[in-house]
Amino acid sequence: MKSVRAWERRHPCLHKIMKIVVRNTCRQGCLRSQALTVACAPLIPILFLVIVFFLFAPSLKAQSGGILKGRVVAEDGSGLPNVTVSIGTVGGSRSSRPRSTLTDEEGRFEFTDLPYTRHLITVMSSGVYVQPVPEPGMRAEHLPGENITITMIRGGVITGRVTGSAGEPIIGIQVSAIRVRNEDGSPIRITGAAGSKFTDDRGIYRLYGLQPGTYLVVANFGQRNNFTNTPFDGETPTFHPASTRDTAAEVTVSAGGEVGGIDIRYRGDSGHIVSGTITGPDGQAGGGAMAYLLFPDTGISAGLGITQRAGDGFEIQGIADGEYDMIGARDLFGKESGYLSDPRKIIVRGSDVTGINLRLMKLATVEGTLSVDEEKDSCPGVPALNAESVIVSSYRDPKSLNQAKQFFLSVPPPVSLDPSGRFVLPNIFPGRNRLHFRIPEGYFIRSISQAAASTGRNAQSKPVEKDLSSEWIDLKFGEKLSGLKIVAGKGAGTIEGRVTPEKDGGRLPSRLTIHLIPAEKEAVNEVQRYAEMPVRADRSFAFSNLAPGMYKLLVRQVPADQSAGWPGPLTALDPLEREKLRKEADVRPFEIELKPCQRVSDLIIRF
Amino acid sequence: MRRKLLLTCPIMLCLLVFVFKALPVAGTQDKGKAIIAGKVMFKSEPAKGVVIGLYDKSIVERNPNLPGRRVKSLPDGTFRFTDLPAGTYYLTAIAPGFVVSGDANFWPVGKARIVNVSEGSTIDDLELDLRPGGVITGRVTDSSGRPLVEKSIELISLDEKGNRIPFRAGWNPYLHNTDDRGIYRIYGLPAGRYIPSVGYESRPNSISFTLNRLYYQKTYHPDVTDISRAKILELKEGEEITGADIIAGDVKRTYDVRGRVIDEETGKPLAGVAIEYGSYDTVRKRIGAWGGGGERADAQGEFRLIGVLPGSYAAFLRTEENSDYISGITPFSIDDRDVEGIELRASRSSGISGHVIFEGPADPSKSQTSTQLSIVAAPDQTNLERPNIGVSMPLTQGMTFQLKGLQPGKHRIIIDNDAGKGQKVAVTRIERDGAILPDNKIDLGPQEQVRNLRVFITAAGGVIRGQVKLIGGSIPTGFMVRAMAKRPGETSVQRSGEVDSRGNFVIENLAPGDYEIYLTGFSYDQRSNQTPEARNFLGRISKSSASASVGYGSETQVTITIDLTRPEGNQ
Repeated sequence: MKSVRAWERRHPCLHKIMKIVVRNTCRQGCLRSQALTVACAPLIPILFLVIVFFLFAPSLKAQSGGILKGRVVAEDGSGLPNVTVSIGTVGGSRSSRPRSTLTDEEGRFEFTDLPYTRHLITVMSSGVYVQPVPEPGMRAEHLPGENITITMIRGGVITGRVTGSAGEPIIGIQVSAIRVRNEDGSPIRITGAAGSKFTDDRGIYRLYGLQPGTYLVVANFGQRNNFTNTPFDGETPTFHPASTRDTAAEVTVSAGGEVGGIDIRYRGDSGHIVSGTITGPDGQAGGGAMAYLLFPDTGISAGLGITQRAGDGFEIQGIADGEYDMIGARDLFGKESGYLSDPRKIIVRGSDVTGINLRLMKLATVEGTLSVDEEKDSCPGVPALNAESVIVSSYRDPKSLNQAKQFFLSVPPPVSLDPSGRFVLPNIFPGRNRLHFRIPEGYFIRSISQAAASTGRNAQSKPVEKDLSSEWIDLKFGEKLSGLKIVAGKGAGTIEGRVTPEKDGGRLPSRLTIHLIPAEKEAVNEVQRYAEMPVRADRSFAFSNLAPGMYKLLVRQVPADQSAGWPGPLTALDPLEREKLRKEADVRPFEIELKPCQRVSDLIIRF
Repeated sequence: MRRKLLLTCPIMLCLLVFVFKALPVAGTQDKGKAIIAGKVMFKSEPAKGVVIGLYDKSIVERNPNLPGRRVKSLPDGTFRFTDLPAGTYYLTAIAPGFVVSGDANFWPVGKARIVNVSEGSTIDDLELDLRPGGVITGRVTDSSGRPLVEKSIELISLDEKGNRIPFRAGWNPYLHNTDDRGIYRIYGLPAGRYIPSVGYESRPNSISFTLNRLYYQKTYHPDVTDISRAKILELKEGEEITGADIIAGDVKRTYDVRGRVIDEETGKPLAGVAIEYGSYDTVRKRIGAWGGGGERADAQGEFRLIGVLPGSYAAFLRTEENSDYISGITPFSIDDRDVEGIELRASRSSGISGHVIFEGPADPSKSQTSTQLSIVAAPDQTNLERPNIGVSMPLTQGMTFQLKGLQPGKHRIIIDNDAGKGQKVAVTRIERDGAILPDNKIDLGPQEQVRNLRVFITAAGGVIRGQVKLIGGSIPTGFMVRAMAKRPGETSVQRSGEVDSRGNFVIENLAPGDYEIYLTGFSYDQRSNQTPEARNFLGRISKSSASASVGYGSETQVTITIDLTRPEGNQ
C-alpha cells in the first residue's frame, strides 16, 4: 500500500490512466481493488510506453509498398521505349522488386513495393541517348510517390583509326575513352573508361553514347589482369595520338556531336609485369583482394590485379615504364568495414617489378543516432520524419589523404538510417572526415555531438558532449567512433535564386560557387549554419534544409584547376577560411532573413 | 696472402660451378620437357609477327583467365614453345581479321589445333594456316528508316545443301552488334554462304531471352521473315560484301508471366526459390533449351518472368545446392497476352550425405585443401521431361558432404578438383549400407534422404597414351575423334581425350584399374555429319576399341588400328 501511494505521488498521470483502465475492465464485475492496481503497477510504465509509441512517437518507423513512376523521354519529349531502367536503394538497407524494368511504348516505367527511403534511378544508355549526369546540388534521389521524368540527351561520338608503325590497320584492339573534364571544363579527378569498343578490320573504331565533356582516347587500355585472347595482351596502352599518358591529347565532344579523325598510332611496346601479394592485418594472403595501379595525381587506373583465392598473388601485365601509385583493397562495399593498404609508389624502369606486398588495414566505422528536436516545432505542417528517408555519407578532407585514396570516390557508399534513427557507416578512410546528411525538406541538422566521459568526480554529473559540428572528424585505421548524437530540427527553409552579371549584358565566369554565411554574431562558429553550392549551368542555385535565421550570400569564382564535386569539403570547416568568407561577405553585403519553413525563391544576386 | 688464396680458391670454384649449373645452356632443355614448334603461313608464304598462343587444355578449361603462353612468329614464319610438361594443348594463331586453321573451335580459345605431347617429346612440324577473312557489312533500319542501334546480328551460315548452321565469327563481343547508325560490320569470315538476320523468333527446342518489352520479329536480309525467301550472300575468300542491309519487320511485344510457388506439403507460398523456364515440346512432352533471368519468388511466393516471346514453355524450380525444394514442370503457352496464375508445386528434394574416404597412396586431403575437392551428383540424362541438373558442393575439411536439391532418379557420383591444381582423384566405388552400388550411381526415391553414403576415392594420376592408326583413309575434314575410357561393364565415361592430327591422344587422371578405350567421332560445325563419307567413318570408328591397364601414376601405351577399307573397321 505504501508503495502504491508512493507510486501515485511519483506518477500521478499514469495513476489516473491506470484507474481509468481498471474502472473499465471492471465493468463486467471483476474485482475492483487496490490489489489489482498494485499487481498491474509494474506493467504501467511498459503499457504507457507502448501507448505513447503508437500514438505520439515521431514516425521513425518503416513503411513499404511505395510506388515510383516515371517516364524516359528524348530531348523533344517523345517517350523512349524498351529502355532498361534500374533502381537502387540509397544506403542499401532494403531492396525492392523488380530491380530493373523496361519502359513501355510511351517510355513509361514503374517500380512497386518500395520501402519509403531514397532511391537512385539509373537509365541504361540506348547507344544514342544517355542519361545526363546530375548537376551538382540537384537531388538525384527519389522517394516513393514521385512521378519523375528523365530526359535523355544525345550522346557524343568519337571515331578514328588505329594503325601500326608501318601504317597498317590494327585490328581488334580495344579503344577506350576516359572522361577527364565535365562539359564546363572542370576537371574530373577520379575517372575510368567511359566507353570501349574494338577496331574493325580497317582499324576503325567508333565510340558513341558518350557524355559531353573532354576525353583521353587510348588503345589497349584494360584491366590487365586477365587475358581476352587478343594479340595485344602484355603490351602497354597508347594514348591518342601516339603517346603515353603524360602527353596524351584531349578530345572534347558535345551532346549529339561527332569528332572524327581521332587516330592513334599504336606503339605496341611490350609492357612489364607488376606483381606481388596482398596480406591482411594478420599477415595472411587472403583471396578476393584487389591491387590498384594508378597513374599518379590523376586517379586513372593503369591496371588492376585480383587475388582469386587465399594464398594467391596478383599480377598486372603490360605496364609501361613510369611512376605509379599502388594501393590494395578488400571488401569495401560490405556492411562492415573493409580493408585498405597505405599507398605505395611503384617505379617501373625497364623490367618487371615483383615481390610487392600490400598490407591491408581495417577501415574506420562511425555509429550514431538521429533524433528530432520536437520542442522547437515551429512548423506543425511538416510531416513526421521517416528515419529511413535519411541517408548519411562521409567525405574526406583531400588534404589529409594521399591522392591514391581519392581514387575510391564512392567509398564509403551512403547508408540510410534504420527505423529507430540509428546508423552505422563503415569503410571510412583514416584522416579527416565530415559527415553529410540528406534529410527530407522541412528539417535541418541542428547539431552533431558525441557523448564524452564524465569529467566530474560526482557520480551524478552528466557526461560532457563534444560538439563535432564545427570540425573535421579525425579517424584512424580500425577506429570505431560510437555514440554520435545527431539532432535534427524542424522548420527548415529553402533559398532558391539566380546569379546574374553585375552589369546588364555582362558575362559570368563559367564556374561559380555560392556560399551561405550566418549573419548573427553569435553564430560565427556554427559551422552547421554555413552552406555552399555550385551555381548550375543555367546560373540558378538552390539551398534546402536551412535552419531559420539571418544569412549573408556570397558568390565566388571557382579556380579552373579545382575539380567539380559536390558535396565536398565545406570551406567553412577551416577557421581561417571561415573568417575569409565573412570578410568577403561584408564587402558586398547581401543579407536575407529566412523564417521557419519559409521558401525564398527567385532571389537575384549579382556578380 | 698465400693462405688467403688457398681459402678463397675453393670457394670461388664452388661458386663458379654453382653459377654455371644454374645458367641455362643454349640449345638444351630440361630432360622430360617437351617442345612444340612449327610454322605459320599466310597465302602460302611465311607470316612473321603473328602471335601464336599455346594453352594447356586442363588449365584453360577450368580458368579461362589464366594466361597461356605466347610467342611471335619469326620472319621465316616459325615459332617454338619449349620446356613444356607432357599434356594436351590447344595451339592457335591469335590474328583478328584472319581465318585461322584448326581442328575445331575449342572454348574458350576458339579455332585451334589439338596437340598431345609426351614427356620429352618434340613436335616441330606443325603448320598453322592463315587465310584472309571476308567482311559482310550493312545497315539495319526499321520500316520508317530509323536505325536500329545495338541490335545483335545473327549470321546464318549455310552448307552446300542449304542446311542452316549457326555461325559466330571471332571473340569480339561487339562484332555482331549494330552501332549508333545501325551499321554492322562482321569481319574475319571464311568463304561461304551467309544470310544476316536481326530480331527474335520462337523455334522448336530453342529459346530466346530478350528481357525486352518490344522486339523485332526475326528478319532476314533484305527484309523477309521467311528464310526461304532471304537473299544468300556468296562470300569469297577475303572479299567484302557491302550493302547487306536489313529492314526489320514489325515490332512485337513480349509478355510477362506471373505465377506462384506453393509448398505442396503445406499449401503455403514458398519464398526465395529460383525459377527457370524452357521451351516445351507439347507433342513429345519434352523440355528443350532452358534458362532464366534469375527471378526468385518473393515473400508471397510470387514471381514474374518478363520479356517472354510467344511460344510454348514450361516453368520449373532451379535446382540449387542449398535448396530443399524441387519441382516438376508447369507448361504454359503465350499467344498474345500476359499469362497469369502459373503455379509451381514444390516438393522436398532428395538428398545424400556421407563422407569421402581416400584409399591408396598420396591422400589429396593432406597435400591440398579439401575445399578444392567438390562432390558432384550428376543425374542420368534419361528423363527428358524436365531438365537434368546436377548438384555439386565443396567437401568439408573432414571430407564430409551433404547434397540437397536432388531430383529422384539415378545420379552418378563424381569427385571433382575445382582448382585444377594438386592431385587428381577418381571415385573407385560408392557404398550404401555396405553394398557397392554399380557404376557409381545411386538411385534416389522421391524425397529420399540417403545418409552415410561412403564414397571411396583414390589418386588418379594414371595416363593412357595412345595412337589411332587409320588404314586406307583419314579423318574427314571438319571432324574430330575422341578416345573415351570406361571401366569394363560400366556405362559411364571416366575420362576422355581428343585425337590430334597425328593420331595421338592422351587420357589423363585415371584411377588404377582396367579400362576399355572406345572412339567416337564428331563435327563441331555440324555441317559434315550427314555425308556418306562421314557416316561411314563414324560407323567404323565407333566399333573400334582397345583394352589397357593403368597403375598409380603410371603411363600405358595403346594403339588402335582401324582399317577403313574393311567393313568392320579393326574387328
